[in-house]
Amino acid sequence: MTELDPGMKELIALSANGDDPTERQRSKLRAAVLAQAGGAALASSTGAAAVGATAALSAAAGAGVATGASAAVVGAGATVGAGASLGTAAAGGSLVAFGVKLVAIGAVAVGVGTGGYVVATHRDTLVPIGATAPETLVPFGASAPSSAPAKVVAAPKPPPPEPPAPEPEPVVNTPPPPVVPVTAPVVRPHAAPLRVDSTATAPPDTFEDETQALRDALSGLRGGQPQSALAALDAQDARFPHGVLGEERAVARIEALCALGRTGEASTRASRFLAQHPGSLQAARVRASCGAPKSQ
Amino acid sequence: MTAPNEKVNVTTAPASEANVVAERPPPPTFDEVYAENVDYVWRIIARLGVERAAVADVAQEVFVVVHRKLPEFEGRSSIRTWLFQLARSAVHDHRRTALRKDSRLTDDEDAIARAQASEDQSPDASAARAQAVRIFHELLGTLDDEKREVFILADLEQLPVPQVAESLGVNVNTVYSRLRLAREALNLALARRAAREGRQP
Repeated sequence: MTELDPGMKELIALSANGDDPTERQRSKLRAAVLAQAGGAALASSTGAAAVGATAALSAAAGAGVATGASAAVVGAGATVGAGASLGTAAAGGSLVAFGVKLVAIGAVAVGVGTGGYVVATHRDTLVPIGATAPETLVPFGASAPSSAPAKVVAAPKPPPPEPPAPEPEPVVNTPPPPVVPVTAPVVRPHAAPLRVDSTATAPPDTFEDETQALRDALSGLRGGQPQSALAALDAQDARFPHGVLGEERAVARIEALCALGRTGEASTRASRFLAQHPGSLQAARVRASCGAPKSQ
Repeated sequence: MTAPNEKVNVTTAPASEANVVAERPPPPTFDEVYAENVDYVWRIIARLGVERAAVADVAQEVFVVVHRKLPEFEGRSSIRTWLFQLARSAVHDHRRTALRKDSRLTDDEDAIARAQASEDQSPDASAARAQAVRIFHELLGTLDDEKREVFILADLEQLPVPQVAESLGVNVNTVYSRLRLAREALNLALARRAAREGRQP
């Protein structure tokens, strides 16, 4: 098996952690995820007055602006519905508007305001955004009338919309072709189904079963129970006679024999393994085991 | 932006089946998954070739799906297998749409990250590492997706080969084959780079 050049290994070591996020990035990402996840839930609550943790989060982070939400509505002592469509809003009482989308005042109103104006249909007045209308409109960020506690509903970052691409999303398990042309004569991975969940397609005793069984055996081995690991490996060889993890099991068996002090058997199996699979990736593990041929 | 999960067949088991797997431990909480895996997901995305300024956006897509789908996660595959698939899908989406929702924040973050990195270390060490990361990414970028994915999981993340195979939905022999090709390609790319640098110091 090809090893990496020492120079390549050194490069990897040098750039270690170079792709990790900073603490600040971690916490920022977490807040953004929670805001978006909560926002989606808010939007799906069909326009009822919904003010919750999301609002607090959004307000704290200024997310109504920073995350590119299209409008923010602040209702003071009012019921504000900021649905996903943002086309209508039912409100009563004082409203504070910011943005260029729309704010509706009154019982139920439809407003259109893309030019920096707000249409308040029950008065037929146009109020420039940012200007203060008597007792009804104040700029976003200014304190709401103190007579009523302000509730904040930042229009959530819209839930993941339909893809902008004209063609429909491809069906499950068919990611687009790799950007870089494939030059190696190997099986294309995307031809194989992703095996997140195989309930629909997988017959009994799948590759996943085999993998899981081997994983269990290995954890037994690492956990200091080589004898039971050995028994498990025997059972797996019988259960998966045509399995694809035969090499892995052979190596695990050698390691289990080593752990049990059965060096002779380990050595025999190690020699056989190396003879049968000289190019195996697992060969390094075999050579590192107690059964490694002495000459090497 | 398309939610990355749409293309990954995430578990939705019928209720009857839930009883069969009832003995499994309850799924981890979002906070647990996030704390343990945010660095992993971030690295995967960066190493799959997403430009630095957009990594946070793509990672956000991934974790929003995690947040939504975690209650359904049944532990049929490991969390990291699942996360890798979500990340890979999100990266493909990102490449296809080349959509950067709001680069201001991430550019900002990037600047902060660089400033913090230089606080942590001497300028020389920081510069050396930045240089190493840059070259490393350049070399990774010479691999096609198949080789790169295997190399990232097997040699960089050091996942066991069976889990790499599971993550990618291919068999172990394919993983071995691709890993061998990936290493050869990287060795060659490094040698070529060295030769190039040697000629033009």
